Amino acid sequence: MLQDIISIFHLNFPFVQRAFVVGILVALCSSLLGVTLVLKRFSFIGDGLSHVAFGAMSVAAVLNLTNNMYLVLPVTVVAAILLLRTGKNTKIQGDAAVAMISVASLALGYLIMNIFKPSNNLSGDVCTTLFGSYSILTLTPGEVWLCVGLSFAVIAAFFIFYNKIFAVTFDEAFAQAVGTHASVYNLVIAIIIAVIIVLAMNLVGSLLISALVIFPALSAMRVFKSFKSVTICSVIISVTCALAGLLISVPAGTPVGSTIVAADLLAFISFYIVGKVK
Amino acid sequence: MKKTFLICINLCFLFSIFSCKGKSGVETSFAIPENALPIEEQAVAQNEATSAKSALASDGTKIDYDLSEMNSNMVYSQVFNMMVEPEIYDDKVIKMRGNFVAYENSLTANGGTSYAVIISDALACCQQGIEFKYDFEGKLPKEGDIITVTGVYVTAMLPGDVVFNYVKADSVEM
Repeated sequence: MLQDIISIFHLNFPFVQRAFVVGILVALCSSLLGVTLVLKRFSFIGDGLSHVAFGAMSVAAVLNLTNNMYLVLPVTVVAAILLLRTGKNTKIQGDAAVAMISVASLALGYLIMNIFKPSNNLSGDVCTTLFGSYSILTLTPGEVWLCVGLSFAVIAAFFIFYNKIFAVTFDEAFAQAVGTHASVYNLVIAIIIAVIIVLAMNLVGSLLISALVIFPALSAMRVFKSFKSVTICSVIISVTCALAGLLISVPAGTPVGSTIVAADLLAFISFYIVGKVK
Repeated sequence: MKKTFLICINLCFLFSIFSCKGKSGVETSFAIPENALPIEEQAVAQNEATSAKSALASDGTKIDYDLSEMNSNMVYSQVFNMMVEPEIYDDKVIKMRGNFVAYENSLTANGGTSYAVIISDALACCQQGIEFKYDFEGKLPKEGDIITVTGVYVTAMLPGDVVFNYVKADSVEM
């Protein structure tokens, strides 16, 4: 019976096992920060940062870097800091800044790849990066260990700074007034978000990252009201949907990212109905 | 209590929808051959990095990795991993199906012609190839023909310590 299950879902292949490990960790990390992003009205920051990461990835591909993470991660972190720390004293406000950086990065990234052509199959590379069809199944062991390390760092940071993140999320002005260095914790949040975005690109691709961040939090908020319960529920939903998406897409041959997002959407609809019924 | 119960029901419902897809529902981008070989379970070795379902080739050789039975994304991913971690697949019997391609003046064939099987992913926008060596005795397939190659995955060296991998084919079905 167990052997049949292993065979059906191809769990005997090491790259499938790696995909499940990374998929679960990425889903867990993205759901943790998703609650904070939704409450701070920064739901689309994931989309913007993922497009920045795509642009950085294009430059890395053109430069033939052995590991594009060396460029993508720092660039995405800088962009996250710029977007989340611009505050209210800038001429270009939050959502406009996100939109501007997002489309500019996407356009420039695709333009650079067309001009310098890092590989013969440009459409395939771009399609895979944007939609994450099977990126999660083609991770090298080194990339997996990097993802695992970064995921544990994100989870540890969330637990260590949980109270401060909570305070900064709900009332930044009050937190600042009682002595919390809100700017420092905003910086921490920005860095964590950037790391999660870069990790999540392997799972669902650039265009679908926002779903991974937003849907579990929104689903949990339909039913639960406290920050802790929403966060816990968000994590459970995100991991369950990532698992379900992988369990379907691997044997069925459907794109991994889209299947996971479809599972997230179904979960949102279910929790929305539950919220209405109660 | 009612809320928790409804949530549990929802999660069970989601799992039941997503988990009840049997092997009969699996789509493959390649047609299953009419003379499909019987499949036997292979014991999983704890000290091996991989294990796989095995099948029998037409000459009775046990097949360690039957790529012809997987869906496109799995095949593409499997081939990618065979290139990235060839040591895991060294000396394993591989069965693969894809488009036939021939390359003239090939370095890996000492300037002669080398052959490869090209495998596409589900969207057919990305392709991977595995080189194979086989004596066609003049009966060469046409470029682009779908062929099924069964053989042993080996690692070889080129001058300059360049490592390359290919399948030493025992049979090529057209």
